[in-house]
Amino acid sequence: MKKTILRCLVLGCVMALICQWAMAADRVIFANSYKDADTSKISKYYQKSPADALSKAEGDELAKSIFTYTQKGSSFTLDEGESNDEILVYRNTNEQSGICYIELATGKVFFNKGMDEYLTPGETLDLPNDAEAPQIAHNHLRALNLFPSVGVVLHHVGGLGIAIHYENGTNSNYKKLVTVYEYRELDGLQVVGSSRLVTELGSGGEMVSLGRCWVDVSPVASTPKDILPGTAIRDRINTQLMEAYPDAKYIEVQNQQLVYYDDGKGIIEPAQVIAGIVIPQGETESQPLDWIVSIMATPHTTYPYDITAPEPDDPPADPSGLPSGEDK
Amino acid sequence: MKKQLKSGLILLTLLALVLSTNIFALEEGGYIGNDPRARPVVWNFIRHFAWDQYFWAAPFMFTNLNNYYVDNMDFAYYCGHGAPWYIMTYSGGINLATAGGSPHLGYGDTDLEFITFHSCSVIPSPLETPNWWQPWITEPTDIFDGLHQAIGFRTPAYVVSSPAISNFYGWCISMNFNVAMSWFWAINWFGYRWNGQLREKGCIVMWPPTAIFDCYYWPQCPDPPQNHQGLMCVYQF
Repeated sequence: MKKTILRCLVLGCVMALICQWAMAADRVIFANSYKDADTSKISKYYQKSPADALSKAEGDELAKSIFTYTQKGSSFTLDEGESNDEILVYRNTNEQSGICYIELATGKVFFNKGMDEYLTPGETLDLPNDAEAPQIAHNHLRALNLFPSVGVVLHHVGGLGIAIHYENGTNSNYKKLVTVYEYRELDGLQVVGSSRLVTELGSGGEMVSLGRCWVDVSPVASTPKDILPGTAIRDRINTQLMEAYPDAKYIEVQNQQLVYYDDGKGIIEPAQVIAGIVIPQGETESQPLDWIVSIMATPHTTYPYDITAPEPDDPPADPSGLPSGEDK
Repeated sequence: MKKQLKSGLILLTLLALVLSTNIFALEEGGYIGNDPRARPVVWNFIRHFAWDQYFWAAPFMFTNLNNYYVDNMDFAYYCGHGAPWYIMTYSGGINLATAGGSPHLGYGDTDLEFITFHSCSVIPSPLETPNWWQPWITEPTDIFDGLHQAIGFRTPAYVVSSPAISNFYGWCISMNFNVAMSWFWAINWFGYRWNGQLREKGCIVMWPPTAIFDCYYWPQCPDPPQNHQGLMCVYQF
């Protein structure tokens, strides 16, 4: 009798465990390592003035100053078809790896002079070293009047490399470019999202490419009731992650950091970056989880997870009927 | 009046000719892996094209029926969880080192030129492993059977930045900028950086191993042979 009861108990426990494992999580778990952020000192968000937008003429002038500086003045032409009241797009007519993209509302600049001389096997000669690269990058930005007056923080110095495995089995590895990655700081907090400076340097330290997303913003005061306390932030994280991962078996938030979030359109507001793990439906191993959540009671912008997309199609029962084109 | 009609007919004939050329006949497919947040990432890429396929990913699309799915496209875009040479779907994982082992072979023997794995760590560089090339080209189960480039990350990829990366990348490809550079631009200019540690770095393996990697969506470079043993890896660090 005792044995039967014991067997039933063990079986019951196993069944309960299986059921729990098979079901989706009903809430987000906050690990002991997760500590609520102290939001009491947050008293503002930042907004760009619409008057700061570049006119088409100013955007064109900026593009031409970059072409002149990189000695590519005659190579780039405006892509009339793709340019409009919001963006100016220039192409390097000699090299399809050349681009200049200027967003007029925010002053964002993405530029690459053209990579033909670097798209080859072999080490780039006279590349700057990691110690001198940031200063060289800053000199380029200053010469173009594109170096922000405050808030620039070096993230790291990296680059672009190529490795080759030849048909005969031999291998080689070359360093092609040095890249300086810098982010923005406001009120001592890192700005994540759009804000950044990325400068790629080539032979002799020449500027090969530039990404500058650095909207000029002004502070807008907020009251304490505009900022969520730690417990309310947990609730918001729970709601958003349950909505984002409705079928996940397990979601655990492990740590957070208070930051500003730059939406790339002119709003920079206080937010919390979080990291954790998720065990997706149908999996047994956990996957890394990253998320960002506004800590404002009423967020002033949308976040990357707000993007919607249509429901995908179901594959047909007989895939041989799927349309096919010829191999180009 | 007759002249106008004639001009109109000529214009129509020219338009029909242009429409029947390959420029407008390229095929793009989007495949969503085992993460609900992958859907907007895939969509943000393929919405720049008159896309042909948009499915929840399943192993058969990448393995034994790939000639109807990814290898039926010119540009395939997958997003979901990943690991070195491995991607995941709701109906099982796919080992990319052996995905070409069925009668449908690997990719490129039918059509595919470019495939992007928008996932963590699918494409290791020499910084991760000295044999970075081996699983991509080990016959007879490899996927490089005419494929030009496999594009992805050597590091983790993040939810926060992925929709912006795929959106800018899709725009660049639709604008016919250099395929490899478009990926690196999108990561540099839209990738995630947090706390000095987290950083997304792209990695691309491609053929040929000796010529310049100056490859565009159109006109396309000549197809690689099916059984080559050389490969080039271009990576950010």
